[in-house]
This record gives sequence, structure tokens and C-alpha cells, in this order.
Amino acid sequence: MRVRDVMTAPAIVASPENTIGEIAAQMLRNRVTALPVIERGKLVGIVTENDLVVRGVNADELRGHATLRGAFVELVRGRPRWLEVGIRAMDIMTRNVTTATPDEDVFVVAERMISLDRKHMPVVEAERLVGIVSRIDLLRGLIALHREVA
Amino acid sequence: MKPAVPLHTIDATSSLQDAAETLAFYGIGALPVEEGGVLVGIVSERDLVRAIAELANFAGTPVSDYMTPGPISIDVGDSLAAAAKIMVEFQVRHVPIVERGRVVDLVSIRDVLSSSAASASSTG
Repeated sequence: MRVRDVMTAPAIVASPENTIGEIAAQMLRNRVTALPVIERGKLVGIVTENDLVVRGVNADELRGHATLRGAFVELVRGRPRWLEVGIRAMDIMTRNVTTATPDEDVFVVAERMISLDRKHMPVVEAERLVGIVSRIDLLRGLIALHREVA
Repeated sequence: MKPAVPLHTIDATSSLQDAAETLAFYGIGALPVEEGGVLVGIVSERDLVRAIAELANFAGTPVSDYMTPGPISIDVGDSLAAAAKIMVEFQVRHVPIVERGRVVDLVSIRDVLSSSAASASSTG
């Protein structure tokens, strides 16, 4: 079974300029848990739920404002400032993206995903984003395969 | 059925802030939510993303407001395959393992995928 058999295509994508509020809404609307970030047609990063939850709340720290707990102090007062200051995909995305190709074997990609601790891999063919594969996509494929073998 | 790792849980009255910090600190994706020691829900990164989208007040909002209540769980005697089936069918990445109403462990999709890939490799 190949990646192309289980991947989600086309992938829902974000731009580096999207705010984390926009990204969160986009993820919920499309029921996806990661968005490849595309700039001028090129894959430049990926933003996952984990990036939003962990780095999103840490972004103030990156800007020299506060620790994680300090960033949350703003929340006590009402609206989360780290949303208002316009933290964007480019601030929290993972730039070192691990990708898969459509013709790779799902077992190989599953092992790579686990060993590199990735939850998603954009699927790239001829330097073009053609889809995205998540752990749940791979698991679905592996279960189907076990069923065929059994 | 899976490697023994410490189970981290959170109380239903804890804040979203506590949940986010705990997930970040331990590098995990979800926490079983307990009330009086009994499993009442699960709070995952996905739930916190929903809170972000709704501009929730993280420090002043209890986990119970955003958790997924009454999560589908498996019994301590069930197999990893049972957890895998639940994950695919219900699009969830974590399944609590329960023994007499109390959560004793949490199976993640990482556990299941590691096991599936390993067994597939070993059988060729």
C-alpha cells in the first residue's frame, strides 16, 4: 500500500501571514490537525495543533515578553493578547519539514513518522505539494492491509 | 500491551492554562480528565485549538468547558487492535484504558502505529 492510497489530497494549506486564530479556525472548519504552509507555491513549513498549543502560547516569550505562564497572565484580563498581537504562522511553524512521496510504502513512512516523532507529513511530488498524510491515515491503511491479509 | 510510561491526568476544575502547560511540559497530546478520581473526559490539543479559535480565557476557563466528555475507553484487558479500531472509527488519537471506572493508562496513536508498523515489518 502506497502513501497515495491513504493521503488526504489536496491538502488544506496556510500562508505564512495567517494568524494563529485564523489557523485554528481553518483547522476546525476542515477537521484537519495540521496545515502545510505555502509561500509562492513552495512548501516552507507546517503548523500543527501542537504548534498552536505549545508554541502559540510561547510566542510572547520568543518576542522577549514573557514566559509561558506570563503569557497567560494576559488571558486572565480577558482576551488573549498573543492572539491580538497577531502572531502568525511564520512565528510558530516548523520549518524543517519532513515530507513523504506518493509512491512510498505506508510501512516505511509510518516507521519514519514514529522515529522522527512527526504526526503529519506533507506529500510532495516534483517539488509540488500533492497532499498530506497523518498518523491516523497511515493507521487506517495498515488496518485495511491487515484485514486483506487476514 | 504498551510500554509503561507515567500517566498524567488533570482535574476537571483545572484551567485550560494548566492543561496547555501540562501538555507542553510532558510533550503529550492529551490528558484524561478526572473528577473525584473518576474519568469524566479527555482534553486534547484539538480541544485547546477550539478554545484558541473561540478566544477563550485560558486562565479562567475550566478544562471541563472544553474537554470531550465521556470519552470512548477500553478495558484494561482489551487489545491494542481494539484501541486502533476506535481511533480510526471515531477520528481520535488517544483512548483511555479503564479499570473499574478509573483510568489507568492512555493509548496514543503513536503506540498503535508503532506496534502496527513493527508487526507488519516482522511479517514481511
